[in-house]
Amino acid sequence: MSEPQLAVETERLAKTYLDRATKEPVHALKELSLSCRYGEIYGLLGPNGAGKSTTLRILSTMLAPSSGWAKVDGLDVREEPLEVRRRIGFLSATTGLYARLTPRETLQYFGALHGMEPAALEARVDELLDAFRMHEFADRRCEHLSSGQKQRTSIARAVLHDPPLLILDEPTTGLDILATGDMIEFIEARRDSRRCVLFSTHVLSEAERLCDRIGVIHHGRLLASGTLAELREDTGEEWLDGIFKALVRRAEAGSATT
Amino acid sequence: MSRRPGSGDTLRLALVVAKGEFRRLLRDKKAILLAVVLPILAYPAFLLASQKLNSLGQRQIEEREVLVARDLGGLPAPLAEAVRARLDARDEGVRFDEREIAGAREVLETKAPDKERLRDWAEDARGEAYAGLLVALAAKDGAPPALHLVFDGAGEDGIALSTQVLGPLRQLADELESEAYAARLGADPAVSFAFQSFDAAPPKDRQGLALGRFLPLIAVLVLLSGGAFAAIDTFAGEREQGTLETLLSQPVPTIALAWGKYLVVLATAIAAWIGNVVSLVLSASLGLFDLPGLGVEGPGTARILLAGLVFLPTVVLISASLCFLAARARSFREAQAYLLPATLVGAALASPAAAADVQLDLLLALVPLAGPSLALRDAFAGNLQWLPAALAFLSSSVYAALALRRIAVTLDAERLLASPSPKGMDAGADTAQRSIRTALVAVAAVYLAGGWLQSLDLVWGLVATLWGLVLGAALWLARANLRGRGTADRALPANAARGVGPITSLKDALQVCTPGGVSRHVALALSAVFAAPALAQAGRHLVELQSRFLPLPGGADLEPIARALESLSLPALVALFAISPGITEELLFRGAVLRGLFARARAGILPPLVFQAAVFAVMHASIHRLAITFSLGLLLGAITYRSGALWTAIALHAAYNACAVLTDRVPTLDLAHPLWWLGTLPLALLLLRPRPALRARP
Repeated sequence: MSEPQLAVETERLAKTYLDRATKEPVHALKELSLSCRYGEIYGLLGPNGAGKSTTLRILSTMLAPSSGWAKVDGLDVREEPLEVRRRIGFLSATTGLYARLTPRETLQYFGALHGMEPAALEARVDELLDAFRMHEFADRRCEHLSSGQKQRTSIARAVLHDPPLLILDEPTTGLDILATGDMIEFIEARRDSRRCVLFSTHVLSEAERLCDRIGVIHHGRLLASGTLAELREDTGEEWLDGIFKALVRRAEAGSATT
Repeated sequence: MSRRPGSGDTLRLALVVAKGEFRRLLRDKKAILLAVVLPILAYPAFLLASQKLNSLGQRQIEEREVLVARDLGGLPAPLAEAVRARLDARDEGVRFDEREIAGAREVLETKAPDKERLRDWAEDARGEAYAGLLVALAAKDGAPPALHLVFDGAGEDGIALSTQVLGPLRQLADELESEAYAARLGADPAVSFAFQSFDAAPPKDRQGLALGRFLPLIAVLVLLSGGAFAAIDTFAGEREQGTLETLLSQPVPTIALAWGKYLVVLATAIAAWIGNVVSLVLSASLGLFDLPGLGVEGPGTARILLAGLVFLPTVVLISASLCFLAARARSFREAQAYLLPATLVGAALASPAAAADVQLDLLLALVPLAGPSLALRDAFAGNLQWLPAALAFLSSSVYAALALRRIAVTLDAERLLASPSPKGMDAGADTAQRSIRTALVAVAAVYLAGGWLQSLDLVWGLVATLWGLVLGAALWLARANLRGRGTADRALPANAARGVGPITSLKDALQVCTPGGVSRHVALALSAVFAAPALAQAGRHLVELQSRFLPLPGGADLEPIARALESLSLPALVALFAISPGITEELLFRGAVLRGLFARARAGILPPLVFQAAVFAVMHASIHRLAITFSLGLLLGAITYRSGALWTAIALHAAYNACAVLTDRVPTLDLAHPLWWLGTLPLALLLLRPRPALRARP
């Protein structure tokens, strides 16, 4: 291995699907090219409906790209979906828990789905219960947990198999201040030379605080990608909201002339 | 690290999924109680309760002590003695008081007894604690002596009285009469005969039939209700609680996930069924209630096993259908809303088995649920016919296998995750609505104007109806649809998937283009002609079947029509009753109307097919032929869609009608021979090829 592999790489990724109600084609993604390295936290920033969820769903092999390709840890998501899924931990935007399972059982169930050996699984579950301070409610049914406890259970589930890539779709949406703080701490704690966190958000302050690099996405296109400093330099704006507006203006002017 | 999952892996993972699903399911105590346990307990309890109530009522009537005032003074002494002896021999709660009831006798002796006064008498008698009066009138003017019973039939005493007294008295009167005849005429006893019947069927067969008649229905209902709760929880529930995406992002093949969930649904359905049958058998054998079919012998293990085997593919099919149904729903509520229609369909398909005279034949054997239900019944009764039963088993196995092959679709992420967009644009809706309106107006016109024309002159009225009204409506609609076509709905991917785009030309508006080449359509039309006799057989079958389940007052009187048509030659008949409707009705229903409905991008395939078939059935204005005209309309529509043009439907419709005309006129032609079924093969084979795409015109 001469060059370290990229955690995520997409090339001209597009997704067109049919709207079920109107039967119209919807271009959720248009030629999105993106790369994330190991050791960085990458934030995908954009308004609702920009294509963030679609990108993350393609990377987690939920959806197949209409054209272009996407690779996770060097593996094509379309050709080796199961191998890709082994390497990712995915927290969807609407993530929920099985109401009638306890956190411990939830972890055991997903560990079994990952094919973990019972003894190793048992040890790993105990380790996670420690790490996320879950012992107190580990054997209570998920339907009786508080939202913070549920969130810790979901995160523990996502990192159960210690994936090199963590994909989080709007991880702080709908959380209260305390839980949001916990989540931000958790993401920061994952910063590691052999790991990558890719998350989407429309909260600018989160992106400013957490991200090594930021990708700005709008109407299914990646308008810009880089460190906060690079984006500031590129647009001449100080804060992300200004940067975002400047990028949108530039894109619209560009599409008007071509 | 990079190992590919083999089939062993898939099975192992499916079992992991099934285990997890079971664990969740079994903790939902309320649902299990309602869906599995309650049906097991409820219906023996219900049977038991109804039985107990019944016998309680019976006993009350029997135990009631009823007092009757009796005045037999009008009878000759020997006769009065015989009556007394007969009535007093019964010690079942009726006692008689001998007394003079002259007032009532006076009333009864008048020619037309005053009912009001009789009522008064009955009431007075009740006041004296008599439930009724038994009054004898003397022989008079050649009329024999008479016994009158006055009682209040609305009261419980009256009901008891009538059952205890009327029967014995009638019997006595009959006996005395025949004795007298025999004595006077010295009659030969051989002028009449004694009648006794003996059912030679072994009790095992009789009881098996009784049990087998209602078991399929119970099986279908219990399988549906038992499996539904698991299906809703594992499919719709997964979507509602937001765990679906998490599950789908695990390194498990989708097929393993779907199989795991399916196994849970199957197991729950079977558990509910077995629990139900066991509770039924147990409570019957404990003597809690009498069950026809579970007498001393019962149907026997061999028959139960055979019936179970015949029904097994259907169990698999029902569970798979539940999964598909539940997977379509986004929430528990939506899934539950799908359940009632599914139950109705299931019950309807299983119900033929309840009618003892519906025979399992080769055609019914092909119908899902219905065929296996009949086979199950016959297996219990011990008169299973092997060929149709094998066909029922085979066909339901094929349906089940097809359903299982598609089971992974239940978890198709592309479909489940696609979010509906808020803005609604309904391409082609105007065209579709115009088609619906025109179809309904055309039917009304055929009823009113067509009926009037045909009453003037049957033959020319029919010609005018078909070639004037029906064809006119078709052409008008096609032109209107062509002119009114929207621009927004061109070249939509959805339409490409259906193979139906916006209307491009008048030919397209009537579906008379020939996509896929002229030779293909000629071949299709020819094979349709060969398929017609078998379909005509199936049609007769269907009419028969409908009349069994929807018994209607006698059919329309076709005598005058038949007489009016006797003068016509065979070619004229064929032209009038086969070719004319074949062309004109197809141009309207499968041509203009169906095409217009298809033009609506949102419509899909099935709703347009069903609508046009329904209107087609209504136009034939005969409820006796409702099932057959609807089915024919559906078949013709499906064939038109599949072949891409109308020619096949025209040929089939004309040939189908011609079969009826020819059977009538040419008795030597045997169109009812089973070998005609082979004639359906070419058409079926040709239709296996997908709908050819029309070249889009600029």
